Amino acid sequence: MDITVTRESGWVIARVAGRLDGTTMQAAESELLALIGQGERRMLLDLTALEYISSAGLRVLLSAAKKMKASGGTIALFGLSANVREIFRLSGFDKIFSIYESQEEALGQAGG
Amino acid sequence: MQAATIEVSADLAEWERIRQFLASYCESNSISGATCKSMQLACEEWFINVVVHGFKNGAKGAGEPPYICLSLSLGGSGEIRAVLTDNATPFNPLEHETPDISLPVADRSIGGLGIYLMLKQAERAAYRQTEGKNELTLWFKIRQDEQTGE
Repeated sequence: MDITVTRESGWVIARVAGRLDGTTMQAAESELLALIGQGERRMLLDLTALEYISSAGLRVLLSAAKKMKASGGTIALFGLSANVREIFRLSGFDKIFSIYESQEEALGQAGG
Repeated sequence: MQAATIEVSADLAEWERIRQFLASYCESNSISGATCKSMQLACEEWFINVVVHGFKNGAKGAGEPPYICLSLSLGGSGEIRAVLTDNATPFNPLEHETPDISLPVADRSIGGLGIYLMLKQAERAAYRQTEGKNELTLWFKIRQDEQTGE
């Protein structure tokens, strides 16, 4: 698991690559929460290179969403593979998050 | 390779060894990536639950070392059977409460989601207690990988 952070059009974009599971959740959670802690209020998670997610990974995303909501910010996702999308659907996370196909769509529709 | 077994210790770091065991079993038996990912997800949820909750108070029998074992075999009708055994606190995941997946973000808790996702990956599941151990059997249907998304 690897998180790469870039910025574009007022959004911080965190690209989460690899596996978000029970062994990588702590590292992922501390990185994402640190970004919110630093004052980021508009965050896009690029999941294009996310190969696998389990409930431990979902926990990380939920924890980031809760913290962002409490801070009055916005969090949106894009680039989910078919299998990651299926896990989101099963767990109802497709209702919790704004999910876009691509970065362009996310930046265009998540609000500038 | 028709059947294979791995025994691991009650340590989350062992997940990597289980993951590789599953991956090599799938590769040896030409099982698709989608089926393999479902099995990985189910086994991870089972394993983490056993380590984090099941062995919270040690093994069930006093003085017994923790025992966690995963066995895979191919069924006749395009299925893989996974038998997941542990000697942690007795726990029947089939009687576990289903989480409310319709709640908004502020009210959502992640509790229970792992067991729910685990059971959703399997075609069918059975649980029994045998010789003081939890024995969960999951059957996975071997699917062909789809060529185009959903």
